[in-house]
Amino acid sequence: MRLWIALMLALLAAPLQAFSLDAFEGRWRGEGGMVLNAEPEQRFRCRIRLRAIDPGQSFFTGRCATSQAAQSFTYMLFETSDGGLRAENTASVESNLPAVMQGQASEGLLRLHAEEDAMFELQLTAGALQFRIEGEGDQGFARGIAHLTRSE
Amino acid sequence: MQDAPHHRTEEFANAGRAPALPQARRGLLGLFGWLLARPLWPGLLLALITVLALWQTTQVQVAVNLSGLIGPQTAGAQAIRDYERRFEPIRAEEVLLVRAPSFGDEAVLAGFEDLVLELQFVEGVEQVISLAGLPAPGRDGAWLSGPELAPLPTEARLRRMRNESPLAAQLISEDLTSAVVVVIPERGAGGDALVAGINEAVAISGGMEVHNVGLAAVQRAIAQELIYDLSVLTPMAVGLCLLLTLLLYRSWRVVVVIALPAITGLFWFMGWMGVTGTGIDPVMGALPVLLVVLAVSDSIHIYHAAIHASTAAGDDARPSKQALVRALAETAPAAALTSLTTIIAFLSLSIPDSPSLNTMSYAGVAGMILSLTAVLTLTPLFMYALGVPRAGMQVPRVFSALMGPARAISRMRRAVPMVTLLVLAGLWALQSQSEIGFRYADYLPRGAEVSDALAQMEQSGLGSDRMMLIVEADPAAPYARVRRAVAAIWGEGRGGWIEGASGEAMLARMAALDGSAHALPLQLPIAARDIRADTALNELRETLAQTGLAEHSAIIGPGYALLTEGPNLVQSLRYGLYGTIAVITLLVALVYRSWWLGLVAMVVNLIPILGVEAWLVLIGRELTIMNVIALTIAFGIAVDDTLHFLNRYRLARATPEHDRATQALIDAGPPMVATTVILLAGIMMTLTSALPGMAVYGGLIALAILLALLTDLFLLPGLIRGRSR
Repeated sequence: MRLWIALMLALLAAPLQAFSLDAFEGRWRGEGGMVLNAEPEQRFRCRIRLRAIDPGQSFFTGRCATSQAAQSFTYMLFETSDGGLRAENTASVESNLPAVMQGQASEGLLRLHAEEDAMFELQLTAGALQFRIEGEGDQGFARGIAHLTRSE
Repeated sequence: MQDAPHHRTEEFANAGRAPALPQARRGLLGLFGWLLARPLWPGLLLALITVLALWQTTQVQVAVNLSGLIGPQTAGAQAIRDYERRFEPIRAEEVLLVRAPSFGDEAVLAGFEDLVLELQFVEGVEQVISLAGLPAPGRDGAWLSGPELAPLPTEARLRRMRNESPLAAQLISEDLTSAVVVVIPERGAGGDALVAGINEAVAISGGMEVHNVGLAAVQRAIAQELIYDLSVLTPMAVGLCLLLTLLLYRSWRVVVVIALPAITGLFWFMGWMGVTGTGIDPVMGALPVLLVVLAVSDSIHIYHAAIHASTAAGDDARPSKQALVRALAETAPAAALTSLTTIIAFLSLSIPDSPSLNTMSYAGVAGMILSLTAVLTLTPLFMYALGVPRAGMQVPRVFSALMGPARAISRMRRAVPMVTLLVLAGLWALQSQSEIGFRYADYLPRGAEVSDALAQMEQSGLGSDRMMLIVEADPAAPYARVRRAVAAIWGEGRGGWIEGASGEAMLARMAALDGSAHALPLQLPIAARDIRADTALNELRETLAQTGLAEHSAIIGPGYALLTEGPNLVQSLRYGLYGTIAVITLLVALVYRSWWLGLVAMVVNLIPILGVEAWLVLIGRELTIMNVIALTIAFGIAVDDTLHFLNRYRLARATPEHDRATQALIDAGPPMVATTVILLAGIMMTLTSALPGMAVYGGLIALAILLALLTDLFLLPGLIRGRSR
């Protein structure tokens, strides 16, 4: 009985941890533009998904494409209590994306970057999601922005 | 009270006057005597084997891989491996033909771009090649949506792309109604899952007519037709054989005796296919029908022999075991020999470096052995169980009636050899005009969506097969040869896209990993029209030769390998056919201990084969892979009637020498006609196959068998009588 009471007190005393990642969960899809080096902008389409695995831990997968090429990504995101983010590349096939990315999560904003100028940014705006992706690829530096809406 | 089994065996052996018989025949009498002495246990064992075979039949797979026709050591296959080493791996790509009223319409073009984007999201897709993704001259970004064309109306943009870049011209038709999209899967991806994903993407995009036209789609369509043929045409062929047997012999018991062993043999064969995991492919599609009709043929000869033996023994209502044993011992050697000749024909298919043909060779041999075993073990059991042949059962008179003219002609001792030589010489002269070729259309199912789409694609000027022209770079001027090649293929003035620094950047995308060569993509018409597949290819080769690039360039691709290796394969099969003819001639000479009979057998069986080749020349068709396979198998089958005739000729020893051929004609003639009629009926069903190769294959075998019957009835007896005189 004393043990039970102690457990209850411990649970009540612990503050409920809310992670910023939770707000981004779900499937998103949409379109925008992408610029390769100094090239004119091209149509750019993205589909991403964030899926909670544990509190503070989410699976971040997606694919973005132009009519010329496509890029997939698969990262496991870890959020610390202070909003710090760490992303580990878990692609099953050989990937040219950074193995690890660091970043910050705050209300409505996730930002991940790596030393190789690679960057993911997800910003919630009135139910939609602005998704930015940047990085150096085989054909040069690419920057894309897509406006995504929830698909489920 | 029953006799002890060993007494019965002895009794049956004595039925054939054993002391005077050769050891082999005594052995057969003993074996069949033993089988009929204890019919229950062998019957149960055979029933168990059949049940197991039926169970394994469910494991049979249809495996279509047209590239399997080409062996790994052939030049075509080696060229592909060389390309993969120098450039990139070739994947099993899916090719889409997208059709719309006009891509010059802005909304339609936007829908097309949507489709391309949607395809990029299909699971397992690595790259999508399309007009929408074609890089602009001088930069990496997409040309179609780029600033160079932005001020122009949609239709003008497309026309300019076509005019300035042959690559664009290969991706959209001149009338702007058809576009080609190539979907390249990731390593290890592809197959049904990829196709399902593509279909989903196509459905979402909508507004356009999209057909899958790649090699993979062709193979899927062939597989679908093969499954239809196996599940519908084969049973229909069997049913037709049953019906014809019933009409001819007017007894359901005879139908059971003649057809059931053959059907059981087919199940044993299919069970073997299931157990060994041997897949059925297009060249093997007609094999089940062949096996059934050949086994039916053997059963008919046994049945006819049983009528003779039963009549000779004066049996009453049911045939005595002695009569059955004697009939079996008389016919089994000929049946085994006819199977052996067909086995030799199948074995010759193991000579070419071609996995598909090699598999057909082994499967054919296994099928023949299993069918013969089923006939020789089950036919006597069914005959005994059903009391067939019953008293009063006769050989159908219609067949006996044909023997009159045959006997009359056989008496023309001088005319028959002369006519034989004349026919042989005439056919030989015609046959020598035959050419070797490859028709891709032979493998395209008639009426299938992919076949129609390929025809539309060729009509639109977009070709039907993607190949690569590899142009070796000159170290002193790395881009000179490839630029010459572009000018030669697509015409002067259409090389702007590879000129200057921007052109070099474009060519760099097509360069080998070490920069030693460039690969130009080519869309060539090889498939849809019923013409020689290498017509366009030969024109291209001619063009390259005129430009002095022949020795610095090579064409590669799975379709190209088929086109170039196909004729080599035909040549190899042709040598196999000659080998088969020589071996079978030798076999006949050895078995009947007469070089004369061996020679006569060869001549009467060469006529049908040369006749079919001559017919191909007359109708303007060349010798293709399927045609030569048909000829090889046809020779193995055609010689069957000759062997049954010679068997009866040998057995008619008691008859005066000048009447032996006539006696053989009386004994063997009617079953020869009956088996030919039933064989033709069964094989003719393959003519209804939607696979042209299968229909041609069946048609040629049918023609050869018909000609073989005519030569066996009207030339063989006369040739033998001419000598015996």
